[in-house]
Amino acid sequence: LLECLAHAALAAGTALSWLGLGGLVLRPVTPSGDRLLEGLNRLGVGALAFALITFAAGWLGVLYAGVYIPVFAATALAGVVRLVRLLAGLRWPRLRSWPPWQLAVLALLAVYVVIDVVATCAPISSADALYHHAAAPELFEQTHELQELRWSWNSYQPYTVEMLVLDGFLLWDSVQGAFAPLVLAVASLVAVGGLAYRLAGRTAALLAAAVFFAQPFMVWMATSTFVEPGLALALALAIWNLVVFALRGGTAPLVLAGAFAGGAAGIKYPGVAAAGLLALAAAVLLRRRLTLVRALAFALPAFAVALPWYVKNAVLTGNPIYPFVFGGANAEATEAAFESFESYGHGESLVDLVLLPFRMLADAEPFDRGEFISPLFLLFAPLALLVRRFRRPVAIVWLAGIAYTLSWFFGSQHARFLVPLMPAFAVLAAIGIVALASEGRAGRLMATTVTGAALAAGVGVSAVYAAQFVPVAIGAESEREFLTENTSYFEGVDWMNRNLPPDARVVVDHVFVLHLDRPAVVWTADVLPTTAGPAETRAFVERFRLTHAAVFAADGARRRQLRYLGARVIGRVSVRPVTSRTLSEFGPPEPMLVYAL
Amino acid sequence: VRLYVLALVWVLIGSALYAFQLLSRAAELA
Repeated sequence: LLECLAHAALAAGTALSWLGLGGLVLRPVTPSGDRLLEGLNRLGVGALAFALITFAAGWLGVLYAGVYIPVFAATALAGVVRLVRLLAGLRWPRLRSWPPWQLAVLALLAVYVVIDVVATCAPISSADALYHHAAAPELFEQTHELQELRWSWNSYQPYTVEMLVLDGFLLWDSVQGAFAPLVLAVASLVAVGGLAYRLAGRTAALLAAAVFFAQPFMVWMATSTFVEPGLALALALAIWNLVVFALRGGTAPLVLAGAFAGGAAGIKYPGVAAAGLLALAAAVLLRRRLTLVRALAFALPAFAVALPWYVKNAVLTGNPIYPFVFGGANAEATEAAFESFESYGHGESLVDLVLLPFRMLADAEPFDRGEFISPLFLLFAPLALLVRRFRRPVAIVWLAGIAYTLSWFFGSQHARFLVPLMPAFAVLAAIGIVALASEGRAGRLMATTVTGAALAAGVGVSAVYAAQFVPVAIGAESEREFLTENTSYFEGVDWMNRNLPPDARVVVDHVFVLHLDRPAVVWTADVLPTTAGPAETRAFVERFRLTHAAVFAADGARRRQLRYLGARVIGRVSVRPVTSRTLSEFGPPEPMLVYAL
Repeated sequence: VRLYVLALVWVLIGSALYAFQLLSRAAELA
């Protein structure tokens, strides 16, 4: 438990260090007078700056704790000074005057933060994190420089959040790394609430914050080393700064909005679509004030923040958006990548499109845990159109949202790729809830009952999800026991950790490699097609200086390639996939063979 | 008024759909 508290304290220190560095970067910017936004702008810009500095440090080969920690300490100190200044003379909300339901929502949000902290304290067990979101930072930390993960096309996506995860590795360990996305998620909660507060007051602010954050889906997002919390924060702050520009004008809000839109594009490829549509929506809404200088004030910082990631890809692979459009490693790898996109959702026909909103409510499991998204977005965001004074901007936001959803629908129907929409649509949903509640007795009854029931169901599901992490987080369960129960094929990883020589370099037939204590290569088609012959296979082994391989006994293609090498079996381990961590469900056990090459 | 009624109907249908999803998932787990 003490360790968990220490992680949380260091996460708070991380937030302060972002605030401190952001304060230094934004020193020339005149304060806007909105202290909450000023604080969030500095925190967000600081996070982006830390990510880019870490990226540069990775190229220079100086990813050492001894380099990072002094920077962390100095900027955290600057953050404390900045925070004291921001808080000085601030009028705190008088909670005693709040109605009980508002206090209950505030308490609910606090409960969610606690749930998220506990879940993040557990060893990393989320599949994508084990594959690359955390595995890549671990590799960079161990080698003190950025490396190409040739086996994972996903690792060529922009890596802003992963750089912040890497900072956590440098500060302490993998769990500290996992706290970076959680800090981003909590910051985006504050940003969504703050934006709604400025637009529509406290009631809307609390509701928007709850719709956005008090849902099991966001618990999963915030605690699984995903990059989506970063997308949410970047877009929430880009929107808020655009709103400030719309209301008060000035160049600084445009520059900040551009920097955050670029931040979104520097986090993940779908961030480019989200940032582009946001820019388009803003251009339509503010078209009478659109000038070349203002467009550049937005676009230049956006490009400056996002570009390094695309230039990196162009330099390393010749394709800035590797492996898309201009080609990936090979035909088999590209096919596998597209297959993984198409394995989610219900289909891409016109009927599927028409049924989409209904399926998101009634049958969202095929969208990869879409059933855990709060229904309040879809139920109430359309109702924001009822409010006359918001109708025009709400309609434009809806059009941009529909355009993004279409790109999602015809691209990859993963529920988590919808997170970029959540900040804006949480605000819309809150405005919709208030609008319905103010339209007569039936409306009030419906709005309060449905919202209350959805939040109650959400906290129940979230508690069930988080409960699995409590024993290990408080030290009542060992890390090994936890990982055996919660990560696929851990029996094989554990066997290799105990039996392989310390200098072994392993190629592994599955993607869950974070907890393997030896350097590992995932044996995807990106690094070696299954059809590769003896010469190509030998070249692959030499290139990665591999000494061992772990493959499923049923994988005929890889075993044939191992025969080309004259590899011998040194271990046979029964492993099993985890199909549900929460429900402790496992797939059938299967033999995994460990070879010496 | 017509829009308001439409909104009520949508929230009613939508929450029924979500309740169906929630209950069928709960039944599956039970």
